Amino acid sequence: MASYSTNEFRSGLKVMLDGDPANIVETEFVKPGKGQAFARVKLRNLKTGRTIERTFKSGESLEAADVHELEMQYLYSDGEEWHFMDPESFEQIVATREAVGDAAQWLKEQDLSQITLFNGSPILVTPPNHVELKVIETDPGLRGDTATGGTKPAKLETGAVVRVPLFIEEGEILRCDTRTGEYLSRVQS
Amino acid sequence: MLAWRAQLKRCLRELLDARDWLEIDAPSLINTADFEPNVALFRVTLPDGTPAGSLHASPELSMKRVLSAYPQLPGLYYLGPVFRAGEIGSRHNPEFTMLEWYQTGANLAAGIETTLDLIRAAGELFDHPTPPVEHRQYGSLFREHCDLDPYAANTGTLRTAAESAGIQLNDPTAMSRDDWLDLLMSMVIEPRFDPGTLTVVTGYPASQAAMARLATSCFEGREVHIASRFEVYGGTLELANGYHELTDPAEQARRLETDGGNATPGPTQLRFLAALEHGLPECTGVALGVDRLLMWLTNCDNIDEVLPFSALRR
Repeated sequence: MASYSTNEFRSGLKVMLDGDPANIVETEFVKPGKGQAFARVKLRNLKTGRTIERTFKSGESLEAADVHELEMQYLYSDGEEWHFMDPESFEQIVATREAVGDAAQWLKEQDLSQITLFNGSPILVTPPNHVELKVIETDPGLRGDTATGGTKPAKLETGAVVRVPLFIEEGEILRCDTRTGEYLSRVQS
Repeated sequence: MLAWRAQLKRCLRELLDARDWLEIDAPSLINTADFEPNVALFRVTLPDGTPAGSLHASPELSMKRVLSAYPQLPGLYYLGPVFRAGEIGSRHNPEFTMLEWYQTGANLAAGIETTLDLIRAAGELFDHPTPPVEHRQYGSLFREHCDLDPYAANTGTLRTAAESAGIQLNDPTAMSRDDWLDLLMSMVIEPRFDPGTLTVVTGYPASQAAMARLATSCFEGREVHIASRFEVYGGTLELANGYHELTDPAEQARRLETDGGNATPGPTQLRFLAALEHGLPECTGVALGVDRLLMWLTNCDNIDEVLPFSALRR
């Protein structure tokens, strides 16, 4: 595959680092007046999710990674495999538990998620930033119960558990932020 | 910002003109081979593709030729663009504005004073209080921040110091001693300079002398070979690089040859060497980044903020 030299490094570039596909988060050019130039690069390993920093001498290069992102609709899961479909091509792909990770608790049928593919296989599933999910289980809130800071746990239809205000009841639809796991607001149906 | 930039340039010219120094229009288009190991020149061609020279990364060769012809001048300066291919980032633009001067009859200490005077005078223009100045030795900086002797440490020791500082190199085997020193200096030591202080560094190793005279100094009880070179930092930002210039033509020719990887010298280099044969007066040359100075004076983190059109935005 093609390779990129340090002077082509920029945010968003997909490269191979130590055998794993990685995304360049940011890159800094460092050069003392008459000295050697370096590129100080922050990369996120797309398989493990970890961010690391690596310094390159100017002119070094990294292999390009065959990574792209697709928006796909969640179809269903059997607990071991998660099935998604490209709404335009109707092509289906299967993501493993490892690739889905924490996203599993937010996936509702028909919702669009971002699927990161490496060499054609899904390695990461990113749910939409905000989702609207129904509360399937929560205790009725007792007026004046401030022992827990005025919130109680609520289980949502996809399995996620969020802390909600006491007035929330079963059956209500909530808008939540998948990045923080927080309740944002009720959705009036 | 456009007004500040114009005012700064006017202020710098006035300060140097007041010393009866001449402003010289060194040509941007010169004819040399690459002769500095870490500076890549933009190559220029005629419309039909014939090579027509390069854009200068410094007016040095032309300035020294003028000085050799007119050694009686107290000093001369260049205020204009220089070009360094591939240098682009938050503190670098491939085309930037250099104030480069040559002060005759000046040794390194005099060169440092002139540099500090200019920076302080520019600071007054911006209503800055006079910044504190700290003088540091290259050796003692490395002892303090990396616990090693930069003149003697081998690549293994330097590599360990870099790793202890959390720097992960992609290919540590491709690094020379000077590469390691540059890495530690720019990624470990410089970021620790006090942001409000002008730090003057002397004692650069002889291997980093470029076109400066060599000298000897004492470090931790030993004699070490250093370059007659200094740098001035505004906070963590490199502002100026100065040299007590080499005047010996034989030594200069030898250095051009080794630094240039034994490439055939271009006509500009040959005329420069001829000028040295004729006689370059004793002088200290200083290159000051005007954009960097403006960043320091206006508290900007990104060179893009002080340039009307930066390469990244163009």
